[in-house]
Amino acid sequence: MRTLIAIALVSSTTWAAAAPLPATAAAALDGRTLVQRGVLAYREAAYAAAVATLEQARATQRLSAEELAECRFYLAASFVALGSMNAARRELRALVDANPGYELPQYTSPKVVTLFREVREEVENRPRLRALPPVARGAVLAVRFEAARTGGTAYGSAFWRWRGERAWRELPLRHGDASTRDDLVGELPLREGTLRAGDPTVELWAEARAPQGLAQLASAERPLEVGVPSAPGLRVTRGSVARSWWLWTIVGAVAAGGAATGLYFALRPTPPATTDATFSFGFR
Amino acid sequence: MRAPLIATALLVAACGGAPDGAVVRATMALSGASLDAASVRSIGLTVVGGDGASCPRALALGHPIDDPTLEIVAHALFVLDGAPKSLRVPSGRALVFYAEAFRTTDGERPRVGRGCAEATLTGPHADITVAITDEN
Repeated sequence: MRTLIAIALVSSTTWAAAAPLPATAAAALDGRTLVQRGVLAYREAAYAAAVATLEQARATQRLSAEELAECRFYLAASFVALGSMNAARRELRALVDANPGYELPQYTSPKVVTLFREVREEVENRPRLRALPPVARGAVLAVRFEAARTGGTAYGSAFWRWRGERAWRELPLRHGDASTRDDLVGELPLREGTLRAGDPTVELWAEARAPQGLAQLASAERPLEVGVPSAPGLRVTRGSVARSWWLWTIVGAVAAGGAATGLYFALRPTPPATTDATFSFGFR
Repeated sequence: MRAPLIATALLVAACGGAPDGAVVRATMALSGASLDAASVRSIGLTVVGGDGASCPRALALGHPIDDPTLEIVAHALFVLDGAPKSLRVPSGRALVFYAEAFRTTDGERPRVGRGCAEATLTGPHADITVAITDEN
């Protein structure tokens, strides 16, 4: 009988600890409150709790630029306290990338200050890639990037796709004219792939290797978006009648203009798709 | 081992209407589980991504955070208090969910067990189960 009771207790406890959890959002608190709680946990030397809370705050994706900077700094400081220096470096790098003039809070621990200075110096001396305005010529989109702090010649590639496509196409970039050695240029053959009617948007990111290191502009997860005009020769997946009418009106207008008039360009990051994952844990 | 297993099966059957998951969990508790679930108070979860991210790699070192080639996507400390444990993570990419079990609610070391699961999530919601193995 005792065995039976013990088994019942173990079973019920296991059930309570590892039962599948209902999919209610963990982010019941807003990001700002979570950041404040994370900072408080850090100040109370509860570093693991601070990391958890701050990661949760960041996952809400609703932090202002200042809140995100604060979140990253205290994440880094918590990682330093936990001895995870690689993670601390990663947070500080992201912090300095987004906030080049970031000033450390008062009374920052000397260990964090030292690491922050190292990372800032590394970021400031790292090669950079900057997008110059693209130009559409018929079914070709000419893209140009300015590489800086390369320490020599940079070689790179652009990766692009029509929005809605899954695969990325690689386009090796060549150097611009001799006077602008650091310029990397390429022409995206827009006839490749299939653009969706009503959504003539190219997603794009680029990377370049140089003697001083790797430079990257945007990423596969957060590409740049370039709105391009439709042009004769592009393969278009027909959408609704209304959409097709709209699309082909633009095609006609562009063709009549015979040039890139009426084009528009927009460079903005795409918000990444996310899933709310609910966890259950089994023990053995 | 067989006697308690039968006893539990009888117990679950006697309770009646138990969902399938109850049987699974009872079996886990009786099959020589050396990690006592009741003593685990918190779980440190690290979500890892990047090229070549996998459970074998995440488990190769003391903690995947020590592998500079892995990308730490998210990190959370879950207190096992019966409340839902959710985390928003990127979808559409291969992720590794590395979990460590602790005896305290604040994740104080040393850990008592760890486990790992791999998944590529799609859609707005997903359920992930991580099996944690005793390390002692």
